[in-house]
Amino acid sequence: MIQRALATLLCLVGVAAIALGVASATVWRADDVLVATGSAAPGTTMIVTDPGVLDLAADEVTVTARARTGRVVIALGRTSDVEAWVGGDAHTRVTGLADWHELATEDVAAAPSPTPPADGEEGEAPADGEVPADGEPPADEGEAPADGEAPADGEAPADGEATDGGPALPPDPTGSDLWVDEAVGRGEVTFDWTATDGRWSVLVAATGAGAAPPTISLAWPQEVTTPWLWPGVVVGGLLLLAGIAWWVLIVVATRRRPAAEPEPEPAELPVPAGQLTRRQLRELAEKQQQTRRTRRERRDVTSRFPMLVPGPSRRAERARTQERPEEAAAPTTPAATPAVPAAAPTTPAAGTPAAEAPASRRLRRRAREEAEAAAAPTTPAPTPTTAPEPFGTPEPAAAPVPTAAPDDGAGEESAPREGRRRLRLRGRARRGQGEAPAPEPAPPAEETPAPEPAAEAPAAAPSPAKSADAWRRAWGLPPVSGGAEPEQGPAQTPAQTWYPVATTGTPPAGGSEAEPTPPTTPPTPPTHGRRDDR
Amino acid sequence: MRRTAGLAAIGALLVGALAACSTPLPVPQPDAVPAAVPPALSADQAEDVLDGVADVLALADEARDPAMLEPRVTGPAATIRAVEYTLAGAGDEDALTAIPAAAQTLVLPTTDTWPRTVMVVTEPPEDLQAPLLLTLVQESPRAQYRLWSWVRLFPGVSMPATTEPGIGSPPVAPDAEDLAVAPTEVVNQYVDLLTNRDQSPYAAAFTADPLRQGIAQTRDAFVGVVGANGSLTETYQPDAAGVQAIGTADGGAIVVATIRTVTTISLVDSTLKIGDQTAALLGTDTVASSLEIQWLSVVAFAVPPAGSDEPVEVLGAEHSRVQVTGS
Repeated sequence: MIQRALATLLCLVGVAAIALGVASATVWRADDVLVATGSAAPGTTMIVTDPGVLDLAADEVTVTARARTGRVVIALGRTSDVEAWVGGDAHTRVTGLADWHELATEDVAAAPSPTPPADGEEGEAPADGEVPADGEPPADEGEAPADGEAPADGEAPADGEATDGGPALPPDPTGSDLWVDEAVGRGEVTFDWTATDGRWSVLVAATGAGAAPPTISLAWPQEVTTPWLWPGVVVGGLLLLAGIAWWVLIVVATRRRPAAEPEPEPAELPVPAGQLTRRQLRELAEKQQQTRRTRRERRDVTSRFPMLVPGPSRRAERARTQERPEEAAAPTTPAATPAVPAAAPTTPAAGTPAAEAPASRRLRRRAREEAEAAAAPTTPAPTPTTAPEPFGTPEPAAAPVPTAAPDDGAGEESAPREGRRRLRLRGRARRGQGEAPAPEPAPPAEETPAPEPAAEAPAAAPSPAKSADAWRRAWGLPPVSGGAEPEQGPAQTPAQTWYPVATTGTPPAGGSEAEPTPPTTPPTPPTHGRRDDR
Repeated sequence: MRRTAGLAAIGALLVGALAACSTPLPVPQPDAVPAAVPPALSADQAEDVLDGVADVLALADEARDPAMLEPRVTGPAATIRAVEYTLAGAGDEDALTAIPAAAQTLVLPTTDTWPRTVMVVTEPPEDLQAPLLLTLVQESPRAQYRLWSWVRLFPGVSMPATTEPGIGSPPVAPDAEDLAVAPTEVVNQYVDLLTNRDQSPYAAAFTADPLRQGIAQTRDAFVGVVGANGSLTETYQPDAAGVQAIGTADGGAIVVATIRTVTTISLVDSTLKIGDQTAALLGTDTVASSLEIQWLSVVAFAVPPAGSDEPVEVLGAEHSRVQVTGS
């Protein structure tokens, strides 16, 4: 259970990591343009950016100022000039970013000192009182000495605006010599700026009678990166794969356990197939006992890592397959090319005696061709036209085959080989059932040519008991004398082979014996090639 | 237990991942306040200011309306220009001093306070004419630069070297200590020189200049005209308009000062026929008893730095009747 939970958790974390990675590059992806907006405090008409705000997020900035009514002005100047121009008037400072879409602002109250009329403004003071106006004193000092007629003009509107609402207008920065650049318009004005050395600010001012507090938007083009996309996806993918793999292992392990229970069936199934020899019965009994033993074992060690189980059987199988070509091919054709031994052991041609070895190359080649032809009889096309020709000529050379077959060294080996061959034929037939409805007819076709069936016939064909034996062997049940196989194999391999047979029918031939299928395919191209040559 | 621990770990991981995803907000990183104050104006801004001045002058000149000068002309320049309009109205074709807008040299102050003083040497208005030295003043942040004075440079003078506009020139206070002579004191000394002529203790402190010669010649001429029929007194004093100064490359300063000269003529049993310009200002060309002419002189000095033995050089001047009364 814990394993399942952890595997599931692993999958979930993987998915989450992928999702987060993707989200970071999509939903949460930063905008291509960073736009932040701020607005002036109620009752004020000016916004000033602090030095460094304009090139806060990029060297290029687009300043947009909006005012609900009247004109709006954007003026760019040195920070000291802008601050001096604003002087002691109430305004709003932009100090930076509050978040990704909002400017941090700070309201600055009108400085009471410079002009006498400002003292009377009680109404304005409390409203602005919350904000410290510390930033401005230097500007006031700069302005104070120059207290000519101009500052008086400039400040009068601010005062009047707050109280008596007289004819005074809000301060208008338009056209000042202080500005390096400015933009003026109604409603909305934009202004582009590229960063240059020094301390720069913009002043946004709404002007005209009844000016409303303006808003300022700063837009910086952004080079958007998605640094978390690929790390998230890769790490998440790995986690997910690990989780899935773990799950698969768990499922495989649990499936094998139930699969082990129906194991008696394979033992029973062969029984109806025919009368069993005593030896077979003994083997069956042994096997059943062993499966029972293993089941008991498994019950004891349920938590054992399941992956280890199939290991030995596969190795054993591989060992078997490796042994066979050596055993079969070595005695027959010492000079055989790698392709030949692969095909040879399964075909009856492989049964040609060692005596044939000294025979001419031509003969050997013919023998090989025959083998190939025999190996690919299931493909319906070649049978009528091609088969007779090669078979007709080699007859004298192939003639010794039947004679050699009986005295072929390992009697026990030839039997399983035949069984396997049949199996292969069946497998092919099953696979090709769509096009070739009768798989069995194929072997007869090859039986008509003299030599090979002759080798096969005495061994497999005649007795029903023997054919049943071949069946059994075909399903991977141990041959009579197989030393290592009965001990290791039966517990697992039959379970593997039988299980699919019972359920589907088709896969077992391919599944139980992996080797037969590959050899069948190589032989066919040569036959085609031959036809092409001619 | 293990599961809760695992969930907690995963929760922490997710939070961490989310936190890592959020890029920190950029913070303003302003350039440091420069140790050396940059010039108050860029060259472009100064050109714009000059254009603004030229525009206003052009309009006012056309209308010959001194009131129209107000946005861009102030101080002695406004006073003198108003007189010129009067003279022009009286038929003097050459009364208006041409003030080119094109600058030859910009002398821009390095300051972040007000008032600010900018000096400009213009291109020659016409061939073979002397360039003008303009003084522009910005009184306060919300005020514009306004033409405070212009001075025709004397032939043959060479302007003291000034630093480039991009670097700027230090502003000089009227009572600056680091000059051979403080700007206000320069005016006082020059007034003494005008008053006492060669007997002035400062005679050696100034180079000879056409203005001083001219004032002396005019006075001598009047004295000759009035003769025994009356008396003539002439007083010189620094004008209320004050002085403007800006530093030069060698640590000295260009000082533009204003001097008011009052010429009073008292006639005894005689009449005096006066010249065109005075008559134009007075409205009549003969006076029977008295005549008072007020002159406004704008004088530009090149003052050497402290410790220098060099004399103060008079670079140029504008000398104009600004008020004539008489009967």
